[in-house]
Amino acid sequence: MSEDAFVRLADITKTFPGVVANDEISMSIRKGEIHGLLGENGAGKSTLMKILYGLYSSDGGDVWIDGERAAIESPQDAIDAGIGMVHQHFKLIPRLSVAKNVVLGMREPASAFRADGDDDGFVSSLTTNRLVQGLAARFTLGLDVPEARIQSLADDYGFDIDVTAPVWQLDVGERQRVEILKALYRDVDLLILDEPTAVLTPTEAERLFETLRKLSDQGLSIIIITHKLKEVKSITDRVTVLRDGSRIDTVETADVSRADLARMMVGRDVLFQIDKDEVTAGEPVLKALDLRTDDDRGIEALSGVDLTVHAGEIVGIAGVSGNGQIELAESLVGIRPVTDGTIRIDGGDLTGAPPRAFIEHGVSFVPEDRHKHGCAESLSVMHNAILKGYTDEAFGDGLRLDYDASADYAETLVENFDVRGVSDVAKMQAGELSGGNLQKLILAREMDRDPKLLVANQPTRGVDVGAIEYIREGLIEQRDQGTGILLLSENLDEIFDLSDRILVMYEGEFVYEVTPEAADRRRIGLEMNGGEAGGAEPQVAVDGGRSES
Amino acid sequence: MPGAGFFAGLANATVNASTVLILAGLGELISERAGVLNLGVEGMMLVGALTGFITTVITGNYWLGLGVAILAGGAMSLIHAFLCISLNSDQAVSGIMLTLLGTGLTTFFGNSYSGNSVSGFPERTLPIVGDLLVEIPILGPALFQSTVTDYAALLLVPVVWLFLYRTNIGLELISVGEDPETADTMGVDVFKMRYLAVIIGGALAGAAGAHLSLAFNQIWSASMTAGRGWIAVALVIFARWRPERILLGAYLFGLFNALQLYSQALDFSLGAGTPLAGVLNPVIDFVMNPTIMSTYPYLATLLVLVITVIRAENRELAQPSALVQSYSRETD
Amino acid sequence: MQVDVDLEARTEVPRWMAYGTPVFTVLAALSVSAVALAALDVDPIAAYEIMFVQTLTTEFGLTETIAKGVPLIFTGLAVYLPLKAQLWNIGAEGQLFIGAVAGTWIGLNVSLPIFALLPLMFVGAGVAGALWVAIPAWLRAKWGINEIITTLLFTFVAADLKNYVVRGPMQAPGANFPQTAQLPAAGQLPVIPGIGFPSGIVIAVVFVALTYLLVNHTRLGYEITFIGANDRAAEQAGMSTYRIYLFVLMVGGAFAGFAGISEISGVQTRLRAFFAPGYGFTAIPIALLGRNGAFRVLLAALFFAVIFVGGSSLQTLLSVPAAIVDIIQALIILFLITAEFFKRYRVSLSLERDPGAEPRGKRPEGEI
Repeated sequence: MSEDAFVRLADITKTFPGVVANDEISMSIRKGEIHGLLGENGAGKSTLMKILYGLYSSDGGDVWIDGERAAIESPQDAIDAGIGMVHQHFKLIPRLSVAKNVVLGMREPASAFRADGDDDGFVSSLTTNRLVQGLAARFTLGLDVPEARIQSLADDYGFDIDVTAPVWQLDVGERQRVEILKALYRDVDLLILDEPTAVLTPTEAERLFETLRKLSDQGLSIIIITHKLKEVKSITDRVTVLRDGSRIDTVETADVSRADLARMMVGRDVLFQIDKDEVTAGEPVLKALDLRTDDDRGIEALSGVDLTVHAGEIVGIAGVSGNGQIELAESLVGIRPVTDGTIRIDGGDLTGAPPRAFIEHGVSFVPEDRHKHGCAESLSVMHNAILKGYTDEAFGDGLRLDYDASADYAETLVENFDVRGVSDVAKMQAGELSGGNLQKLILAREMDRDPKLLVANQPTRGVDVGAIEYIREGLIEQRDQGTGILLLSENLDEIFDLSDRILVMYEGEFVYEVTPEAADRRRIGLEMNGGEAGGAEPQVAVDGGRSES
Repeated sequence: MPGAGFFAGLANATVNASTVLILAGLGELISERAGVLNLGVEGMMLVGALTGFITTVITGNYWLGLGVAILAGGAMSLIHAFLCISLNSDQAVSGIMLTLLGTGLTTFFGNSYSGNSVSGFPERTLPIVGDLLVEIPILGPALFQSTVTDYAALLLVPVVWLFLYRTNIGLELISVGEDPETADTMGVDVFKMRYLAVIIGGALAGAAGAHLSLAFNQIWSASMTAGRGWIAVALVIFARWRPERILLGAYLFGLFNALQLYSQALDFSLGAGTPLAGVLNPVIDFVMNPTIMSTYPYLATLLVLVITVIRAENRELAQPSALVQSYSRETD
Repeated sequence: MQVDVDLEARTEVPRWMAYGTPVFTVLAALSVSAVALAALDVDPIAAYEIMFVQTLTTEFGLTETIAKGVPLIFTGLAVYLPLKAQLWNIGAEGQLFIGAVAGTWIGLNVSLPIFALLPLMFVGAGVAGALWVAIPAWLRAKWGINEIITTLLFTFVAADLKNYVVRGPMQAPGANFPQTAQLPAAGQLPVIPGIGFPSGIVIAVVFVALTYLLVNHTRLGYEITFIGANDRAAEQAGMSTYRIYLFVLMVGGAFAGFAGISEISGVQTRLRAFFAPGYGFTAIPIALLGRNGAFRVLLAALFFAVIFVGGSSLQTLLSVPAAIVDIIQALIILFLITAEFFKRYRVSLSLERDPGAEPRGKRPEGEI
């Protein structure tokens, strides 16, 4: 590994409306190193790498490769500059074979037209003719030579892959290897992997790391985006930590402990304190027992979870995304079928009941993706305000829906919850509201029903600071009125500020429970990453309690 | 039982009826493999039929007629391409518009040519061995005593197959119909490929129309395509988006068509003495009724569609994954 | 990301466009069609004078317009209602045929007084149209099979079935033509006494009003609208897309069935093999023009009725092929979807990008 910077990012700045995603970030990557890019969700890791890969353009700053300024304006430019990226969501076409996926866009001609063949007079003059070359690149397709090369690349790195097999036959780990092959086939010098282990089993992840080590031994530079400390410690040479769009530090991995990294990643202990009265929790409003459910791919995402939420308490679920939080939230509000276990809401058994039954039993839900699942952007504020309550008698009897009453109601919500920028609730489209105001509207709709249970998944993600404060206070107020709240958040500050109890979720199970007063942030950060601490952190005891009591 | 002459006639009618479907079906297939459904086949065929016809009437040169028809079909499809690819319009609505437009324009401007006939493509045998091939019983005259457009359609099946599966352009075209976003990140020009596919589709529909007016009927009459454009759309689904199955499907649909002409000669009614004859004969009459038989291509297509969708869960889907999906970098 | 631009675009332009689009569309289509007319040496001004002024100022023209308007209103509703739930009923033409067959059969085979027979014919036609679309509707609701393709395929099957019955089981006894016998007087829609308009218009307007009430003033209408705007959010709020998809398509099928029987009972008086009015396809531009409300569907249908009637007058008076009507229709769709793009384009500009939801596969310069 050389000490010289091979790729250097200088003062990269990128703003989205209302948010500075990257604030003058500089970092350098050495030849042959594995460089971790660590940070919480929303810290700006993906944005930075998308700029490097040409998917976004930066608002300021430069990229230097091998000492020269590089203008990267498209993925093609990045590929030409020797940069490859393995996206979190694979860019593969299932119907096509591995080889075709790899060569797509490269225009490999049939072997007869390859210029690198033997040079016997006429044939070679034909194959080097530009017209013939151009035609061959378009109207032939040679897979034999590429297939052999892909196979030899695969063999080099111990990938057991049939290059002629269609990609739909491959499992997730194999597909990721195809993605890596795609980059290697293009002779990249720098490979970016965006949360590569998010979709892998631990064994597959270990295999991936072996591959990455081999690649770096051969001089390839690797950037691995992650928020898992364990991975950073086990695979990277150096690590750059981002927080809130800024670079905190770049350090040699060997010099820091996981606890140090956790502190750098999560930041100061408390962001802002919210006054919170002590409330004695009441009767249980939610009792889930041995809950199991699958994710969209049919893989078990919840592995037997017990959870109780009492009236008047906020239970915070901390965890790294993709550990079963979405599935937990969705099954508790009836929109994801459970494969096993029971759900009791306010004493009544609602296991297997339709979403409507949950709503009628006083369950409210703030979904993670407010645009996709929380509202209809093309409909008015009024239409969206009554989404959960349109069957109530207040909005008309029998078949009739009283839009005057609905408009009045929507106006009350807008007023009471300080939803800004609404002129006419019946005409203004929900999609025209800013992210924070839309979220306030959704929260208003869900809380105004005085729910027994409120499930809020990432309620403040992508919301401006003013609205965050408002939303958090709203949640506390709702708790004080006796609602049991389940708060799922990847933002630890939020979990600490709001929760009366904290549960840490890891791989579809609760692995740790604590009260915020008794909690140690570093400990929670470690539990989120699977608990067992490495040798570098003797100060953090290994807790055997992997199962929820 | 009908004799060899009957079967020869049936085979001939089948092959004749299938050429239009092969040409238009392959064109629609290419367009759909790139992710663009074009319901304007009927309209593009009509425009091809009329422009080819008028050109041939004026110049006397049916080759020129065919060329103009191909250009006209391509030009019509360009409207669809622009609306669907550049403006992200609803593909179904735009396609129906194209059919309405083609029908309207050809009826409007073809009025004065209505009923005229033209001397178009003659039937020929293939050189050197053609006279021998025609001697093959039943199938010989059907396959080897045909117009150039018939031969061309047959030849086009392997050509399209090779194009889609054995060229880089074909690979890029398919990738654009499967996942335009991935294709884009791999450096494939999504817009160019989709335009190309839609225009090839239009050109082939134009050629199919010219075959109708210059080879098959050698006459112009309004709406002479008589729903063949819609059958071509159905055929692509029936063929589950594979060019080689287009040939099979076109012959099957052509056979349904030919049977309508020959159904009088086919009497499958049971004799008076046969058990259940009284019950079964009306059923047989219904099933063999020429009008009822013309629904078979559509019913067969529906069946294939339903079976494919219901069975294809989590497996290789037959339909291009991005069919009917517009793509642009600006919006989701 | 253009924050300034989208603020302007979102409040003012869409409203202006919502009213301006239909007018712009129609004018643009008529201008281009004028070129086609001029190509046949027809003076476009004179032609449009016949088409619009004469149609709308003569008693004959008005009566004919109303008569043509009735089935167009029904097919317009047949496409409009499913479109509210974001489904395309492309097969209204086929449902119209089946409705016509069923209604005509009842009219010919049931003998009842007019006040009982006519409602029975309409109910029969509506039920037949609804059942005809039930299979595509079920395939969509249960399996997600694209309704555009299936309703279209069913249309061609329906056309053949109609041809079959008028050549076979329902052919008028002893007749040589492929057509049914004439409906009895009790099976024919009367004209409105005094003004002489076909009474079908009353039924059509009643159903426009009912559709308006359904969509705009009922919970069911709210569910339809919401599912049309975001089916996933709707399902999370406890709505059943399965139920709604079946409902809108089958009610749409019933409307198309009404269109069929209203045309046979009110105008044709018998079902002929060549009965292929294309009303089911004209319903597509009607529904597009009237997307924002049932009463706009009514207006759009009447507008197309004027064009249909005017088109036949042109053929009679100036020997202009009536196909000009198809051209105008096609051009209206063409300009309408072009205009839709510009409306959407502004809307997409105004979309705020959520930093959490990073767009994939987009080049930054493309975001502008």
